Amino acid sequence: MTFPARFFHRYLKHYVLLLPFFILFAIFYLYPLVYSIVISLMKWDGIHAPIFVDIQNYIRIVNHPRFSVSMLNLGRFVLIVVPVGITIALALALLVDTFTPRWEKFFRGMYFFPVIIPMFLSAAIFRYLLSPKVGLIPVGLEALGITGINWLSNPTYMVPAVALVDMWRAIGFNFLLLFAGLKAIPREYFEAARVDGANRWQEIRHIAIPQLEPVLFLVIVNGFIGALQAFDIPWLLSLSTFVNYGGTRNGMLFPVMEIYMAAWGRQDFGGASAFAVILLAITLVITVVQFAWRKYRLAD
Amino acid sequence: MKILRFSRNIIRWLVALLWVVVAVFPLWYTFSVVFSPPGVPVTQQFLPSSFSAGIEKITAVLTQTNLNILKASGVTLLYATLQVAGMIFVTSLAAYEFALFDFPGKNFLFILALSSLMMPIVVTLIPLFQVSIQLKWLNTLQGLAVPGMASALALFIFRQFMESLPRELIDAGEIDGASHFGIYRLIIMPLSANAVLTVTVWAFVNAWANYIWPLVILTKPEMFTVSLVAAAQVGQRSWTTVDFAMATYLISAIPPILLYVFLQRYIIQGFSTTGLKG
Repeated sequence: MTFPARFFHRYLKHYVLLLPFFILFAIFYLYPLVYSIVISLMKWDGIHAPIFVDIQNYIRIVNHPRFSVSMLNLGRFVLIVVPVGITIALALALLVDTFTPRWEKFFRGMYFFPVIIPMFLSAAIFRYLLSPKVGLIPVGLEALGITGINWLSNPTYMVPAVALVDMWRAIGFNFLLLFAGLKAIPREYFEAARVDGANRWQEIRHIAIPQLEPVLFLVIVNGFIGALQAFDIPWLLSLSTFVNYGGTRNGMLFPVMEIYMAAWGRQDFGGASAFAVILLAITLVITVVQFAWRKYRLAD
Repeated sequence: MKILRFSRNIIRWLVALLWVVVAVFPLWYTFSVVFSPPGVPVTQQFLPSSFSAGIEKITAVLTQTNLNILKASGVTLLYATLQVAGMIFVTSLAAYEFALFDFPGKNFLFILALSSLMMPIVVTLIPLFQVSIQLKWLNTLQGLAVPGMASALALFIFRQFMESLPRELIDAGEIDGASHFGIYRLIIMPLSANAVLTVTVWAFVNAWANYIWPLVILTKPEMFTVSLVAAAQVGQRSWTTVDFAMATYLISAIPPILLYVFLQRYIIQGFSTTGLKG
């Protein structure tokens, strides 16, 4: 047999079974990805023939006031949910680790519960809990003497409100991963430390955290990727519609909301794609920088 | 010293239990608002106080003609089933190859598939919408279900599981004269029931929660998913409408909660794999 014939005879069966997955993957992922970049260079309303406009969509989008507002909101959001959310999750994982296995299982089951609640539902329920005068959170804060925080219409507090709802869920998810990582650390390490007279804080600092590094790293990388895509929670908390979106003075305007509205609200598919490609680039840069930094750190 | 240890122990329990309250409170509160008589002040709604009021509200929601939650649940259930079935078939087949065989291009293809996990979903949203228009898939179940089938995470879960199966199974299958596909169907899949269940519950919970894709491709109210129907209730302020909204939320939370109660192990397994890729 000649080379290609032999090759196919030997490997064809493998490629055949990969085909269903990769056909779908190509049509519904790879092709859209490339198409997105192509459209970002076109002026296109979704109906008429697209016109090539090179990088004008990018220039137009970046100079739009809503671009900077949504990016600033996103930046504030990420700076809350990633550090605060992960610290709380880590603290909870370390806390639950001190209980007996039965209680560990109970706490794990409870802490993970918010993750299975769809995000649209958590947003819907928290929209009510945060409502001025009738919502339990403002009413509760008022009982503690804290008044005047309008979570849903004061732009200072609107991003923290989105972060609050997001963290309610994300902490459960990060807790699960960190807790599993903690359980994978050999018990002997802790026992040896205890023999040497280490207290709980020293155990955490010198054993648990260094051993958890790979899991912590993944949680942080995932945290960024997830946070950059926020849509359901700010969209619903701000009661956004085609007519009106982003909430008071765009206090809950996030990039994905602006992309969605540019495309389906204004039929500016080129501009929307350009914004999406920018968001993609930011996501990739943040992810790559984290991987590179980790490599550099571990090489030391 | 003893007192110090004792009080530290109390704090430990208090904090751990406090977070339990935080985690379950929103859903518990929804439940007790629904099962309270209309018009009870918010601060007194921590406990359900009227069974009949709750039943009345739920009946009102279920018999609603416009944007009915029951109908939406049917649509969501159908699309989720279609998506999960397709996903299991294509991803387990591909994982079978990735986990148990060697062939040129294997690593490249696997990394290509996994790289999709790093991408923001919104990047493919506009082209996916255009593809759906060309296929005439707007407002259809296949339009909801098919684009999400080639899930890299499901592929990953299956591959992780199948890699732990002994290779001798394949040799044994070949000696018995089973075909390449036969080994998958008769030996590998029956042994992968655990992974199938994990992917099923994980994918089902995700399909139930999907909001942005239905928002993009559904325009006809009779095709609306649970996410769109529930979202339509957000922002109600008067007593009657809040009660109605809360009952809607409660009903739409039931399927994922039931899955969690009965199949918690598989859900936790699925979600922890999703975090440990990479």
